Amino acid sequence: MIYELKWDLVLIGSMVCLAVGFFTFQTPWIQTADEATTEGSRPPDRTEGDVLLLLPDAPAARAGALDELDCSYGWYNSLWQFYGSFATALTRNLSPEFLAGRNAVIVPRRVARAMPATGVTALSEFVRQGGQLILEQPGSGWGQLTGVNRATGSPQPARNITSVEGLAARGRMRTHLPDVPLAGRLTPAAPADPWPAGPTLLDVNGQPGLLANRVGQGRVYTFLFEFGCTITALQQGRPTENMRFSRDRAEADSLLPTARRTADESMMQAEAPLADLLEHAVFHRLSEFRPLPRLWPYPDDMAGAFLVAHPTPADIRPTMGYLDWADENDAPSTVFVAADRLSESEAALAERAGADVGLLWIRGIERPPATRTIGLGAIRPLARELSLRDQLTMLDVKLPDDSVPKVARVEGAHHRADWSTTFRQLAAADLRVDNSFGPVAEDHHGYLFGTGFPFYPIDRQGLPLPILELPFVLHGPNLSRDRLQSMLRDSADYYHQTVTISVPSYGMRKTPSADMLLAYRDAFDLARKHDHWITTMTDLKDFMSARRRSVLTSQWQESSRRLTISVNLKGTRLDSREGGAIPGIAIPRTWRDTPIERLVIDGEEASLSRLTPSGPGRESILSLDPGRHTVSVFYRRPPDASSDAGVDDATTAR
Amino acid sequence: MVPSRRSRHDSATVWRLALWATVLTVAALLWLNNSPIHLSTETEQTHGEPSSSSTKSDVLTIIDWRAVYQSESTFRGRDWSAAWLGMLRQTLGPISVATPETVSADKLQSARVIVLTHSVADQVPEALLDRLRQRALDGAVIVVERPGGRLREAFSANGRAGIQTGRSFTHAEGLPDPYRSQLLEMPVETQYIGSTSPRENARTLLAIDGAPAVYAVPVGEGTVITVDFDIGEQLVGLQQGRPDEDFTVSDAATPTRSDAVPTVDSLMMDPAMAGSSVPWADLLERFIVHGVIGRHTPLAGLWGFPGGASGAVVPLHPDSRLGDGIGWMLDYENRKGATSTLLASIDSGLSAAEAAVVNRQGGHFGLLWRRHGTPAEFTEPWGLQGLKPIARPVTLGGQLERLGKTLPGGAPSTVKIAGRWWDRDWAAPFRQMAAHGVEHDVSLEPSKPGYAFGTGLPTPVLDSSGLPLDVYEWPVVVSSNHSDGPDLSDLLEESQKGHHQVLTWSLPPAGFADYPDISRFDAWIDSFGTIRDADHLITDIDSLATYRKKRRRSDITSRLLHDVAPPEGPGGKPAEGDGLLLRVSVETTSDRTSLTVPARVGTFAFRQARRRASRVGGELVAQDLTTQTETMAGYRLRRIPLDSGSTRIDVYYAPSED
Repeated sequence: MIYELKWDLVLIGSMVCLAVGFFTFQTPWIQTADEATTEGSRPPDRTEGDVLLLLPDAPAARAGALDELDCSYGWYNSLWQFYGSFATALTRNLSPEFLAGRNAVIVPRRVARAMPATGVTALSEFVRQGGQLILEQPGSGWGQLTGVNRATGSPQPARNITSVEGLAARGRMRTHLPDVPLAGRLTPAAPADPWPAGPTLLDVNGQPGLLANRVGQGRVYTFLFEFGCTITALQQGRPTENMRFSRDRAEADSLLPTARRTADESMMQAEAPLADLLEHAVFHRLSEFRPLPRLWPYPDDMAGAFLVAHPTPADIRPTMGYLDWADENDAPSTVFVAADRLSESEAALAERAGADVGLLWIRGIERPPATRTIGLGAIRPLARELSLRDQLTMLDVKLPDDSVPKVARVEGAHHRADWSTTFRQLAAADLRVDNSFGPVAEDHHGYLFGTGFPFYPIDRQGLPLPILELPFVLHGPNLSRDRLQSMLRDSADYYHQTVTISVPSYGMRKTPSADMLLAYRDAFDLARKHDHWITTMTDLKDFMSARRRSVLTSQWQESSRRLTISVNLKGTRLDSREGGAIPGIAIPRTWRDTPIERLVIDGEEASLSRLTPSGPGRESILSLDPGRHTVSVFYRRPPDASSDAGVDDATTAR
Repeated sequence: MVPSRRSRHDSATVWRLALWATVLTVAALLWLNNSPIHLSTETEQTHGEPSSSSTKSDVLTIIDWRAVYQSESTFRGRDWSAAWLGMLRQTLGPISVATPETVSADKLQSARVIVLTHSVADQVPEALLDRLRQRALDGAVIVVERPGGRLREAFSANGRAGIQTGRSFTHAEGLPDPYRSQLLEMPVETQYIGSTSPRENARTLLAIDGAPAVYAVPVGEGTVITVDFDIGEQLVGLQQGRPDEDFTVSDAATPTRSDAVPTVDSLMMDPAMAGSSVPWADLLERFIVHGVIGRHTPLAGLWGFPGGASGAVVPLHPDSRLGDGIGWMLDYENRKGATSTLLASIDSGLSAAEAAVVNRQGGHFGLLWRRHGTPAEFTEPWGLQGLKPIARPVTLGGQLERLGKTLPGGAPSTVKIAGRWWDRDWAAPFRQMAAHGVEHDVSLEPSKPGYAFGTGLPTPVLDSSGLPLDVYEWPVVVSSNHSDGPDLSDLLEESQKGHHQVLTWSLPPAGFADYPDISRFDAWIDSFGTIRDADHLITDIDSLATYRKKRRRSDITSRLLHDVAPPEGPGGKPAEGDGLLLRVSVETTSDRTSLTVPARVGTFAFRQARRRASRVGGELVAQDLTTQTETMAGYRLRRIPLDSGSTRIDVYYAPSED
């Protein structure tokens, strides 16, 4: 009988195969994309600047744990954020001539441990002649320069700052410095009195952590804990083991929320930017010795910067609602769009509304992956996930202008579970700013990564990648008007931050709240009220680049209490800054409790009203046009000026 | 024996047929699994029932339910006498109701106002006629609607011009502007009885097309008022919408298509209703009660809103998408001391946990009904194991039961039909709601804001039989989705001034999901202040309905005494001349209600209100009461806050100095 029906059976079998194939192909098999990566590299050295950072001659080996990571470029990030203009050099290029004219030299841990005797000698002489030297866990080759009285025992993990008496810290600095979760090890040391009676500036784990030593006319500051790695761990995350952020083997190659990287659970609701506070505590110390100016991190005398980001994984229409409001308020925003869900007309609409369009890198987290199907006609059994480069190209084609998007966020604010792979992928695609670090959960908010300011992530060899990470501090369900107002107010009054909020397109669908809309409604007014520059990520990147290209050096004459600042300011034309964005110059407001009494700009007397106070902080901000300028700042003599009498004017401090 | 070739061929054919039949059957089932056959379903319905609800009241309404039920089965021909009950309850609160079988001499004697609806007024027995005449002589007000026979001969005009079709109101006696102008602009679709000559001594109070439609005749100490037009037809047409004569509703957009599902807009009695800023049905009711009946005798009632508020805004939040996000607007409303009604569909994704949170916040839940037979119907596959070739709509009962499992309070009693759809059968949706215990419906949401159904107040609905269904309709007056028509602030202002409305406001919480319009959000935020400034509550259906139910179930009786010397007024000033005393007894379970009495009775003006003397420590003590002036559609009232329980109040009127 089967023989009789064989052709029927063959026909039925073929139909069944076709049907199975058809249904199977409706859900094609997805081939994941291969992503290119790049490695970190040394940025070009800069020779000019009051502060010199010495860097290792060769990259370190790939770190297998945070303890092994070369965090020298953690210092680079700090100096770039705080000073803007500073010099860098390899250790092998160190010479007395190179040190001439510097005020401070910073020697990170790895450099300190490998410093040859000639270098130690040169730096010793530099200090004796009035320079300031920062040494990080210098080891035994530095002799009596540090003045550290070592204790027996092996280094223990540094946990937290236990006393700030030596810094004479007040207010928020005093309140929040003990909250900083430290990284790395602590060199044991014998107890010592706080400055000025003793050498201790701050205690860590109940023992001296940062000490100051008078050497000749200068100062040596010795870190017994790892400042560079602390800053790096705060900003880039504290991995658990094998430079990964999860102990679960199943998550080894997964994408995780970036909040999983935070240095400590206590950071999940951080109201203070702890990394920046620690930096400020250290660098302001240098100005205690002699006034050190710096490039203000914002155009002119703006108190901070404010950015709004709109991650848009699907339909752009909700984002257009937000952009229309921003346009009504004459404020720009940054929109991260999924390249496969954006039409050309929508891209044009977004740009007309003044938005800076970046890429939302789709990874299949909040929605299906972006794919390109492969097959014939309706039968498309395979789908290839679009790589980052593919998605960028697709987006670039749709954007009306010629510029290629340089800013991105990873879908869902996720990164690979390891130290730097996602950064290396983003950098390989020529992206220059990533905005994936931040709190997305309803009960997280604030400076999870110790700062709102952008920083350069470093790879496992300790080298910086050519991309900035710009964290956001509030997002959708955790965004409220009160929180935003509080952060902007604190930023204006004290922290001077880059406050980035994230208002996702799907916010009012997935986690709707009146708080989010109230915050967004008032965001631009609040930013303006608190003197924050409202800008986009591309504009901020361009401004930071101009700031880095600017040069600032200074000289101090203690006898005449005169600070002479030589500056070459670079500005940049930006849509979000009428008249161009030029960094201001931040000058210490007082010198040993005496205020500024005269200001001379390019040889002409200038009114002191040109100086804008940076809130209740320590500095005044001076705005100048782009180009070269010489600014002389005179501090008033104290009523008893005898302490200054007889100082040799020829002995010009640095 | 070897089978023959032919027999082998025949056998193969049979097997072939069986094989292919099986293949085709499996293919059909698989295809149906993806594209199931949609079945229709019959939803349980119930029909209107005579209402026996009655309280102690000055106002007695007599209705013959049998006559109503047996009236002609067309919209125009139907006896809509039950509309009187809704009108009087809405305006005054408690009323007494009787049928020809239950009306007693005591009831007639104790009522100061006796309303004979058309169901009764068509043929009144002689004995009752005599009693009515005597009651009028004694000072009662008798209202007769389109009387016939001896009743017409006794009190009304001759009616010889017969039944006329009315087009507009042309005169409203004593109604102050702007309400008079508003009333005259009302679309009219009703019939009146024309007469060849007016009744002697009659005073025309309302005219239709120039002819007297409501007129009053003094009889002894009292008055007989004839309502010679079909007020029920007019009110029901306004409030519930007007179908065709056979009670079918055609889709206004595609009137020639018999299978088109009509929308709510198709129900509107007149295109002029769309976007109207005047609640015409309420205006007519208040004119009849305060301007016609109240003109001839002071009426005591209970204020329609708790705490003496001028009105109420009832926010509705219908949702089928946000799931647990449905409560985000309620979160903010709570901060403003307000609540609202949330209507969830069964497929919205709402969880029991979130429902419990909303419940604790005071939110009231209802069902967003995805009604079968409309494009929004919800079907679910049905079959065996993994094969589900049939899709059946989930009925109203099924949806209520399913949502009830999620809600802490069980199945909800408030419903809104999704998508603004209705039914070709005018009353079918209401019958279905009544069959499943639904008490409140908010489906009448027009495409333009305003009083498209003549009212914002919750109105009892009637079946096409003329009998009441136990469902209240809360028409949506304000919608966030449309910009044409009166805006909220205008409606609030007019409500506070005199219309005193419930503004039901539909605000889908998903409205900001697709396009977060910050200006519209800002307007919503600002509205809380605007609503409070207009002295309106922001509340949910359940809370307001509970108050109004207690109001209806209260008792109010009063006596009007003449030639009473009023007490000294404020500042010790004695009144000149004798006045009136309205002695009121109220029994209520509501603790935030207020008694209302007219500010004037003829030439007498309100002077004082006192809680009746009670013995305190052996002495008789009367307590002066604080009163507020209110204006209801131009008629001035005095409002006296009450506590729950029994209260006896003396309201004094003194000769007016005006």
